[in-house]
Amino acid sequence: MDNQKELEKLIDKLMASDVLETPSKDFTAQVLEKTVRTKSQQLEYKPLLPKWILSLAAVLVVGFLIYGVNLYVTSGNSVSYFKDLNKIGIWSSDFFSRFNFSKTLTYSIIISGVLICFHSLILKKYFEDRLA
Amino acid sequence: MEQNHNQPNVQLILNGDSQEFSKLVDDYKNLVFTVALRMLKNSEEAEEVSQDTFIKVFKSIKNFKGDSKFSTWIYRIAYNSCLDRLKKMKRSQNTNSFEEVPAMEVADLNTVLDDIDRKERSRLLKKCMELLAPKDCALITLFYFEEKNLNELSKILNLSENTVKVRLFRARARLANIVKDRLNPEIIRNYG
Repeated sequence: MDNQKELEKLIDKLMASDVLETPSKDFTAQVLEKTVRTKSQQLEYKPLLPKWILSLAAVLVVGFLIYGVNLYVTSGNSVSYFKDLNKIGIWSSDFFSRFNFSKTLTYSIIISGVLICFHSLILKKYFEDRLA
Repeated sequence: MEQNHNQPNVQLILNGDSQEFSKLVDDYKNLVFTVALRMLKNSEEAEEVSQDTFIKVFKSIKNFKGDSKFSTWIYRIAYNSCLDRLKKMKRSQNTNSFEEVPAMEVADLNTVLDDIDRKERSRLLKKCMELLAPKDCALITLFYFEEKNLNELSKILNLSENTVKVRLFRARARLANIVKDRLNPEIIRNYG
């Protein structure tokens, strides 16, 4: 016990003369600069869809419009344009009616869809917490 | 040698007041840097880890709940950042083997220290800290600069108060052994 007290006294005495080290002069400025960089990184806009997907969608929409307008102009009336649209509708319903999905597959697709939506919510929360 | 800090205004920092944050950095940087330097034994790395500590503080200040003192929270981040760096660099965090210093020798060392001036004592301590294991350095430095508060220290190190007490005793003994080895044995004998 005496030894412990003596030891404590010794280290107390030694530590009484301890002085703190100082970092470089521009330490605070460097930290502040880094925080500004961190802030701008946090606010940086990142589109949900990559640019190439957006461009592809834009090209498809524009192409479809040009095709539609072209039909309208060559036929001379709007009815022809809608007739053609109707043709596409009939074709697509014929096309999809060829497929016959079982109930199990239909339910599996629905459940997968629900789970993907649920998962995306969890992922969104996770990334928001991480980046906050 | 204890540090007096003003409690920073967290709300102002959250509102983007950079002056308040720079005041916070100025208040705590010296002790954070000292702990980092003593643990990592390298000035450049210590500076880098200290800066990272403040960036982490800045990023997660909104999560500070005020359960403990603000200084405790910052030193905990600093201590863990140093441990992470040591782990990353695959450097040993282990303490040296524990060896008790006989009472007589401790008493002799006490007498020697009385006759050494403050500057020389400070130089001696610096040299001895370089030889002490990282965890012991952090423990002793934080204990003496943080009002010798075992409760706060246990929160910083994430240990129970009793474990901190035991570790502190051992760290003191290891430091005393290093001091004994560094001082000329003849000087000790003359004073003893």
